[in-house]
Amino acid sequence: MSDAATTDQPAAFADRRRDQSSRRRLRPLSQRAWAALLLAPAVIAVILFRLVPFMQAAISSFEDPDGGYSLATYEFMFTSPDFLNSLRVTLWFNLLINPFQILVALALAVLLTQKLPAGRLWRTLAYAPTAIPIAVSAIVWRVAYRPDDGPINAVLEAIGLPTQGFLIDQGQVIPSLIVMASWVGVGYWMIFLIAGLNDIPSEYYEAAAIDGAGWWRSFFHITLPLLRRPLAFVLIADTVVNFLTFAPIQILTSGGPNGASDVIMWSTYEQAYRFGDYPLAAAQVVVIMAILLVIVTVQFGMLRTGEKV
Amino acid sequence: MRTTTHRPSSDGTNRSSRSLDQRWLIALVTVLVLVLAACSGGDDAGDDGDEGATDTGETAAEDTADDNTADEGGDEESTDGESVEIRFVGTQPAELIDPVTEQFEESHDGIDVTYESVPFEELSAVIAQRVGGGTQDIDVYYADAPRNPTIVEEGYALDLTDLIGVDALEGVVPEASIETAVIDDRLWTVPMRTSTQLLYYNIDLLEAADIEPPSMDPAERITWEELRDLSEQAQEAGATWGYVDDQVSRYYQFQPLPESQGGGSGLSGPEGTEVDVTNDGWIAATEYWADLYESGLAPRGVEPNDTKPLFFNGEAAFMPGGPWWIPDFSGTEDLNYGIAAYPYFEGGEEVTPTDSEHLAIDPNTEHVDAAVTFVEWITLTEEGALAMASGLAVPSANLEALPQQLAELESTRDTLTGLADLVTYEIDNTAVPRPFSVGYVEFETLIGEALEDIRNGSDVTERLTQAEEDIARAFER
Repeated sequence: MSDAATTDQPAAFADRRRDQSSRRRLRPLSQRAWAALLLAPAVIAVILFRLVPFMQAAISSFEDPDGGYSLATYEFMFTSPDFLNSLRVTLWFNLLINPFQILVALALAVLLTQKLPAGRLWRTLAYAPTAIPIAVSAIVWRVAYRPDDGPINAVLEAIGLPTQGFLIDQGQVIPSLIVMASWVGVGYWMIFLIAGLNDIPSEYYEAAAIDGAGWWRSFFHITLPLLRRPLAFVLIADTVVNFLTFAPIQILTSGGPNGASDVIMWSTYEQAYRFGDYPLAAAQVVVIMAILLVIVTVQFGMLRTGEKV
Repeated sequence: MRTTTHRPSSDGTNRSSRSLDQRWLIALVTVLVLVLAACSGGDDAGDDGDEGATDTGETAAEDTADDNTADEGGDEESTDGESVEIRFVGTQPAELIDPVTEQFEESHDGIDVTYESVPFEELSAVIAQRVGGGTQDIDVYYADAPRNPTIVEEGYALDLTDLIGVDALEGVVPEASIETAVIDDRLWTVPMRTSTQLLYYNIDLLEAADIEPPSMDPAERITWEELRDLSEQAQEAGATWGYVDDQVSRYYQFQPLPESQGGGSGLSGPEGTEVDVTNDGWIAATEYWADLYESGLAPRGVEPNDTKPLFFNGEAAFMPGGPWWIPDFSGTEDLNYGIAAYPYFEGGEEVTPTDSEHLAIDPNTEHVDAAVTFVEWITLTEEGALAMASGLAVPSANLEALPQQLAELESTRDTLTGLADLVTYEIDNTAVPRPFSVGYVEFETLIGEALEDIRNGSDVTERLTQAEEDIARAFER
């Protein structure tokens, strides 16, 4: 509070007002404080909506059905053929989808940063599926993939090829889901890579061209090394997203046929919200998190250069 | 705290602003603490209901009833004279149910009902999350009859024994549906609807194939074997599909087949936890059903919600389905359809599925009297039951409303004469409820997944064996 003497004179009153307002005005913060302030909402959200629930899940995964705490849930889980199958399916799905999506996104990014006629239009078209809600995309693809009266099989039939089972075929369900998920996701990751490509100074390419380097040599020795940081982000974020794939499975396959698309997130959802087995679902969440942490740590290590990724 | 005077430096930055920085950070920490404190209120959610349902439910009912001072069964008003708001959660679209709640509100001052629609597949999850989580944002909800043991065991239903009582149901709803509402001699839900299945056929497609329409007379019902032949005939004569299932790959729709083959429901024993879906009856019935899809008479890869339009658009000759499609089908002038008695296997039993939604009250509700009043009106009064029946053509469980509802449905088409007698006969004579088991949800889900795989080409015996193992494992937990 101001301890300025109060008088009845207007000038003095104005001085006091000025004095008070200058004290109340917020002064510039140090860089560190600003960083803390701007990061606060994200940090609070991470703590509240990620860390706290995860800790709760971890604790409840050790709850014994007969009271107290034990490893009974983990014993049941690791001897459950269903869980082991969902683990296998999840790893297989991710081994296929992540390299595929990143390669396609990179190819598109490189292609669409060339001087093409109507370049922006192509970019927009590649990005457009990202703007469609995943549930809508899934329903559209469900119709497209219909084995008996779907449009894709109609085209195959028209050109004399045998019709396919797609989502109802054990061997084709994962590739079919990858195509659908990539149709949605590739344009999104492409945008990050385009931004990275645009950050590479053109002088490097000009110098390389003077030295007689061809397109491929420039790509491997200039583009890729300088794209390392956006690529690292895309690789890690894409892996996390694909590891936690749920909506397309729920809408399209419910983990079938015969468990061929029973990814771990679907299995966890089913245990928690269909069977009400929260300890088992929580134990599965702990396993998902552990696997993700390992994978992301390895990816960070692989992509680490002299600078921080 | 060190005081500083505000002296901006020449470069415009404030070098002596540490105290203010500290203030910012203190503010930030305060916000964080407040938010954390605000979010820590629901930690104990979901911990209730693990004990015996009878004890906890009963005491919960008494405790909550004691907290409510309104006259039992009367209109409840809050102390400040404002209306009590109750939330009603069900699986039908809001446009069907909103008129029903509005009609209730007209005759019940002081109670406002908000209806919320959730997808049928999600209802169990919604109840587990919100009722089980103690959110108190649901007051009354649809309870699928075979799931009653589960919701009671989990503590998701208020004990209605002293609030409504079994006596109030006697003679008002079918005896069989009372049996599914009472567990351990306590009343937990109130039957709102019952159900049955009929055989729909497309008259034009049958005529094109020179097929005599099957009879509506239960004494002359056709066999599943005959239906397969007729479906094939219709398809050869131009029908896109000979046959479609209404609720394809769902246990409710499928159960009459193994039952008719003498294979039972799949669950048995005093607790309903002994699973047997690999006996001869089950295998034979499932082989028959799988062949409909394998041979191309029925479509693969079409979701349960997408099968009705196939019949609706005149693409399918036959469809076993519930009477709730009659208003839609009759309202489509281009669709020339009729109804026959539900098929059975040659030499087997005549069996139809039954059961439907009951209503349950959240044990955490703050408006017990209002919720009870609403449940009683919609299930036990002719006015409420008729209002609900007009919203959707699922047969009402109310014995006064049912005949009026069936007469109404029968009058929508000349080809439906005899419908009311048929539905009444089936409910009284051939209806077999789904098995009563605390593991019903797991059973239904895992059988549904197995049926979906079998529809898409999995080997019947192998897949049913796997399903049996999966269900047994789920029951171990």
